[in-house]
Amino acid sequence: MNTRVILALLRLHLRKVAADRSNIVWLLLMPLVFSVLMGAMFGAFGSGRLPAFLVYDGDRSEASAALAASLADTSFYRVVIADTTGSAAMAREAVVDGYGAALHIPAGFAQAVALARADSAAAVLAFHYDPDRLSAQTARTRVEEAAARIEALSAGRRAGGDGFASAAFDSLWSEPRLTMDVVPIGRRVETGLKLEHGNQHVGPAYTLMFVMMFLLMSVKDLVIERENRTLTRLSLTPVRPWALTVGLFLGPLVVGLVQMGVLLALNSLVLGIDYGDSPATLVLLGLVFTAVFTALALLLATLCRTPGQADGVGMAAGLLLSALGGLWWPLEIVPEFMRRIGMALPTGQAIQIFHDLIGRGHGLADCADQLVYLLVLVLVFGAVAMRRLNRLLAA
Amino acid sequence: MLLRALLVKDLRRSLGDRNALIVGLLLPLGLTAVFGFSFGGFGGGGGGIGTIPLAVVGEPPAILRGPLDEALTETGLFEVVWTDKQRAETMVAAGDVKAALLLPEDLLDQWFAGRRVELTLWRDVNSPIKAGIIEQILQRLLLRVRAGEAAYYGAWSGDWYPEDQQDDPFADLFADASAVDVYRRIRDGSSESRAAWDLLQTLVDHQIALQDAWGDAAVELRIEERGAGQAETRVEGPADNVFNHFLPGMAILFLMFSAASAGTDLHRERRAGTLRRIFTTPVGAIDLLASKWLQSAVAGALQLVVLLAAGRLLFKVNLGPDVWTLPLLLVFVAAAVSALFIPIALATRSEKQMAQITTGLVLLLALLGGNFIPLEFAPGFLRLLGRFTPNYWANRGLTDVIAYDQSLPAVAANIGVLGGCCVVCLGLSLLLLARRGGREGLI
Repeated sequence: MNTRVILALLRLHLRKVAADRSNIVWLLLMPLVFSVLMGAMFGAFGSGRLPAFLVYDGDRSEASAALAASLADTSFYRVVIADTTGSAAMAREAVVDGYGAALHIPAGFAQAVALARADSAAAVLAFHYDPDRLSAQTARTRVEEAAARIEALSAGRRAGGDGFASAAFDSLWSEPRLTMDVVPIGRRVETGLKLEHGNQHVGPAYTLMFVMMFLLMSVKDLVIERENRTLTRLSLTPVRPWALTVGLFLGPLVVGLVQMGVLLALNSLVLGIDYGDSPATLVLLGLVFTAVFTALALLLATLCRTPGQADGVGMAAGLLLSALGGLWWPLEIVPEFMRRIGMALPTGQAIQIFHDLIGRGHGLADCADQLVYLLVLVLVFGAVAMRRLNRLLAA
Repeated sequence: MLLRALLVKDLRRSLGDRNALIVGLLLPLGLTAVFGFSFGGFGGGGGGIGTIPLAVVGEPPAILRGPLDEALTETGLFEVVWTDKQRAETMVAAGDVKAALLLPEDLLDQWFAGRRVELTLWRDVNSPIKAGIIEQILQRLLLRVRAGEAAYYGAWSGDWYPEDQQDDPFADLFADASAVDVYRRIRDGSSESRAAWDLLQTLVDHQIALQDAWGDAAVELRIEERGAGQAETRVEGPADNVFNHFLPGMAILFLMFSAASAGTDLHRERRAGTLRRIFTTPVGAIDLLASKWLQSAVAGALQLVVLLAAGRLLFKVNLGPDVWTLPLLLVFVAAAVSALFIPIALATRSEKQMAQITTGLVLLLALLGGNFIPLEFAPGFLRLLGRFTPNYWANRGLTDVIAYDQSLPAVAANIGVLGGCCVVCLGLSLLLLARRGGREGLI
């Protein structure tokens, strides 16, 4: 009897969702549009605009133009030559106003470099930057490299005099004896598929966000059922309250799982995302994440009194959990206290598991703690929701 | 008179909706706080990505370890952990440290034997930013060695140069010896020892000469981090407060949600039968639409005013350089955004259809118009697309006034575009109304 009721409630929910064709917009279309557009914003297709590195060329000489040219062509920033000759103070202001890095090349730069004599005044290059930005750190490395070459060349010439051997200098400069080999540690090293590609974050993040949003928006449906007294009518039948709760839980859970499965598959096909080597972890993550928000939606439905309230609470919870949990931007770039808050949320845990699957090739054992944490949330939200729902049905 | 009565009725109802107030006011403030705290704003400053854990593997002699430790920690960016290779790999793979620097065994011996020395940096694949910063800083440390060696052998290319497989001219002099032994070998020793001593003196003399020449270099690079030394030279401006950049975007986003909800009112009234009741009076269809638009615009302007006032109190947001620029801009923003949803209300068939279309549209407009991420970061085609959204002009205008303290002339174009958008949307509404057959069509 109870099983039949549970299945009937499940069928009813699925029919309701399938009957409304506009649901397709929220289940599939919007997540895909967001994934593609945000992927483009984060440079998933290599077309994102790079942060600007502003160069004030106060010398306007061949030497200063060569210096500016030697800073260009990186995949981290783009060099913007300012129209004005500028000053060191203006370079500082530019960084305060939002540029990651700014350099001022003073007037007399070419002359100082050409003379390279102890009695000539040094040209002071003023470099200002934001150390928290990778683009600015890269710009600093390029500026230091360019300046070090000029310094080494001029110091060597001055020390060596006419005997200075440019060939020896160039040989050691272009092939230094002390080098550093950089090796990414992770699963995708050999294929180059690492988290640096924006869509590796954006695809899973917007899948999680829209699954969560759809479930939280369904809070309203249950509140309307309460308002219309269909729940009261159900409670009059000889069905155990727990069976009603399970039936109400299973419907959104199945829809959420189908949505997540389809979105993950589309992300894989359209954006080329590889979810790692552990399908079991991926399946379990999908199941537990959907269950957390199904249980939370059920709980919120017992707390909200009107459909309007349910709408507001659903939207507020969805947007805040997305922003705090690192679905809009990776938690790597936020201050530590915000990262801790994010990691305490189910959204933060879930996106972290995705990162670990994609980049590190983690499996069930590695992600066990995070999955257990999500499972505990399911049990807590589910237990409280069931208790409240039973009380409502009894009343 | 009738129009005023309709307007007052709608306004009372919308302002009495506590849920709408929560979504329209508390949520944008909450999200602004999340954005602000995430990107380094706490009352206008602070933040940053914090220290970056870095593992170092190797057992270099004290003469190298000390300066290396100092060089790594002086940046203030690293939290250095010395460990073994196996543990370092585990830590990087688990993300406990963002990178591990592996120093080769007998690094100094290899260096002085003239061999190429390669350090290895293991980067956490999931940490593009922090591990990238580590890589850049380490590359700069290596740069010092590279510049010094190139300058030296450019100046004295005939000097002894340590090359692989060649005899070490100092081997006899320094082998298994204390300082006293070295002195004795030079004083009493062979001609080889004396020659080695002479060579050593030349090398040291050249090093000193190069050091002196370096002191008079042709260029001097002065590096300053953002915020350093500003207190004495610079007065903090509105652009320094990150909340000034985020609140306008969030305010416009939730204004769009509120205006969409106000547009849905037309369907609600039809479903409830109040439209039919209203049309028993001499109220015309245009009056009704005008009242809906005005109600939405007035409520929207009030929402923006309350949001900015709360932003002023909570996040110290700037309210512009004068008393008229921001209020005037807010009026046009509210009018344009409200007008946007009237034609959609007329083109949709039900409350549910309207709600679904407008929610999707609002999110899409927010994405394209730069409410979530500033369009400066977007690729060219998205930046171009963004210019066709009204919220782009609203965002830009509000940001110019609030974050950059711009006055009316600077945002005149924004006001013009918003005004034009308002006129076009209202005109389109009239066309749709005429197509639906006026009052009868609305019912």
